[in-house]
Amino acid sequence: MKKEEKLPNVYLAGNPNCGKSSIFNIITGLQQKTSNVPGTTIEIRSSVVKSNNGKAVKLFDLPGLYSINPVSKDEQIACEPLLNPEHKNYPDHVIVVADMTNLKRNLLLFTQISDLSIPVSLVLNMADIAEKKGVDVDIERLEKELGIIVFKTSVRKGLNIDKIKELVFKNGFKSHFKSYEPPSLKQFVTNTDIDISKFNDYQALQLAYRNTEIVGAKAHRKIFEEQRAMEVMVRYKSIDKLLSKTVKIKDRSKLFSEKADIILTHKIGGYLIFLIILAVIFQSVFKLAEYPMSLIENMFNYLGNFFTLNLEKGIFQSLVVNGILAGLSGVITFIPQIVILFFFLAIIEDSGYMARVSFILDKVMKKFGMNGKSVLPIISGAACAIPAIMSTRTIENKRDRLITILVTPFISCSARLPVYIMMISIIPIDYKILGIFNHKGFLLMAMYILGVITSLIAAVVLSKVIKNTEHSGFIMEMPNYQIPRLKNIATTCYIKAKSFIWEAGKIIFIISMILWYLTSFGPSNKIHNIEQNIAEKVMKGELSHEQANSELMSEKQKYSYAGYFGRSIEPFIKPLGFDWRIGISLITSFIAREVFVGSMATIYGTSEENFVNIREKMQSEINPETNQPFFSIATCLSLMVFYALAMQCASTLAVVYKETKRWKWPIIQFVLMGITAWLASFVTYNIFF
Amino acid sequence: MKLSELKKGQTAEIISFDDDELKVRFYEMGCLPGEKISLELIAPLGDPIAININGNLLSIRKQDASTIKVRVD
Repeated sequence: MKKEEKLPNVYLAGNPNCGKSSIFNIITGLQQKTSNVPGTTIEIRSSVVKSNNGKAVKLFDLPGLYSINPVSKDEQIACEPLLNPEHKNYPDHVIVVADMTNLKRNLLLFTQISDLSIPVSLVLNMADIAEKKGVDVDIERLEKELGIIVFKTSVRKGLNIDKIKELVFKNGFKSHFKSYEPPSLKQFVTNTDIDISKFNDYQALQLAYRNTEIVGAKAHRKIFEEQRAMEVMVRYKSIDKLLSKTVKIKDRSKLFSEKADIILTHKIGGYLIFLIILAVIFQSVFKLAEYPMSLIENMFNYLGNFFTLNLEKGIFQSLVVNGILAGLSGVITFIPQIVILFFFLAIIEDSGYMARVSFILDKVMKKFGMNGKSVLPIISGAACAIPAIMSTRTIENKRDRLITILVTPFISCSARLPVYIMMISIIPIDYKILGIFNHKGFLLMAMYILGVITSLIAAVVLSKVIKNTEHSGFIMEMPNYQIPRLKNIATTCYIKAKSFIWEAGKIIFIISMILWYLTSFGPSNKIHNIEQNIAEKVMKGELSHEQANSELMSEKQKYSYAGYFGRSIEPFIKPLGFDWRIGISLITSFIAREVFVGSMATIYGTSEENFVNIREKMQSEINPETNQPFFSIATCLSLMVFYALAMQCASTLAVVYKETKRWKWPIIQFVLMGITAWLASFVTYNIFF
Repeated sequence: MKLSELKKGQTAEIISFDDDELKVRFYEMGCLPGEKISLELIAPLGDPIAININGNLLSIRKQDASTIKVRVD
């Protein structure tokens, strides 16, 4: 392939909530690529954009920033391309998107970028809301004062959308507006690989802010903090002067947002509305996801049958049916839940309601070492931990986000439900609480409560252990309410699903293949002998084909690596009231918890569809040591507690890796959740034994 | 007095900041000495509070708000 010629780099920059991402979505559509800034968890979206006359540029979407001296280390790294003219992605043009309702604050970032001698343009977004707020901007005057292209837009009302699309291909201008005279630091900045002779004073100052070590002593830090505060203050003074010449603010009536906040943050109404919205989301996730999920299931069943019939019996057939197809379905089954959950979360985020939820619940979450923004991810964990963990990106504080990621899988997800239902159906108790509540409903509720309480305790413990490297200050903007744009939401859902498939999907697929190998092969040729034995029995007429099949499956599982493994862990799980059969199922559950039901069915030599049959078989199982039913109250409860608390989901681990970019965290999570589950099951078993 | 002691609906002028690191953040969010600031909302559980600065609503924890000195006119 021909080497790509270097395209001009165009950046979109702006404060959080200025509508920048919507603009990026409009320009790029679904062509965008999301890539991680190396060494950080920050994602930068980019896309090659082509104009009608064949011009092409590479467009980047910076994370939302209030200043180019962001608080978080990750964000600092993300804006590095702006600071180093030698950087391969150094911008040729930065389009600053400013929220017109709050120009003063939004222009701070603009003046900083402009002082880096980068060609800039200024887009004043949310012009419709600004007009309602009585903000009137003299665009021509502003263009003259800044010496660059300036225009108003409203993504929501479709104002000047074409103009933005054209602007991407135009050259920006260097602004002559000076708001700040940086001190000359060149003499200090010497100890660096970067040749700073070409840097202007502000670029040199930025370099010094970031690399305090290159100017030496730690004492400088204080000076720099003072310097930064000074810089901001001086800039705001110049911005005030500029705005007094170009902006008029008329009197205005009370906005819808302000009226809505009185209700949505009300001490009763606020929580009530939140509960209703939650109920609607959950009902929808469960109900709506059912259809595509059963469709996907049917499709994989169909494909499985097709390959079973059309491929020659043997390893290859098994690889295709039980390895490849199972791996693919382990990835694709999650898509409906991801898409539906993100559909709702994107509405909540885009409408501005997310900030209100955080506002009314921040105090509670703070007690548990998190912040208000952790509320929705944790609650979403009740549907599926995967989209829930992916949605923690809105939490800026690194530590709070990490804790949220680590404790979310304790919340009972929908995949645990089949396991709970199966165990509750075989547990040998039957009484009614208060004469109304059946023990079944009570037990199910207890499992969900157990998950919530454990996650909160874990959060408290983790918040004591994991240090906050960033300042604890939790300052959050509460944006004006807006009607969400459907197209923007659709793009979010698409991107989330795509990033899950490509980043986590690969890992899930590999783990499925490993599990397939472990369940299909054994250390000796015992499996081969079993096959022959059973074939002989069929020949003699002792077994029907159907019986032979289920016996073969059952025996194969026993003598596979997974079977040996299940038996070898028996000493560890015996104190919990489990035997090797449950051990095997615990291992196979790793691909997805609900596999437990199917795996138990295989071991007991029946099919998953024949639920009554397997229930009876499990109930009639006698423990040889006690002569009591093996699935006693103690064993059943212990098993349910184990499933509630153990990290048995390969897909979740893959997503935790994707979101934290380190293997360390999924491993720690796996071990800690395992220990917690073991201890809790042990206690449960001994209480009820 | 401290910003955290303001009553709902009260307007005040920002005087100074106690915490140097937070100060820069507040500056960048538009909270500068001399600016008018008003307490718009208090979360139902008493914390955080929402303040209006230049027509913009910011949610701040009381703990952080107590580092800002203000004067009620």
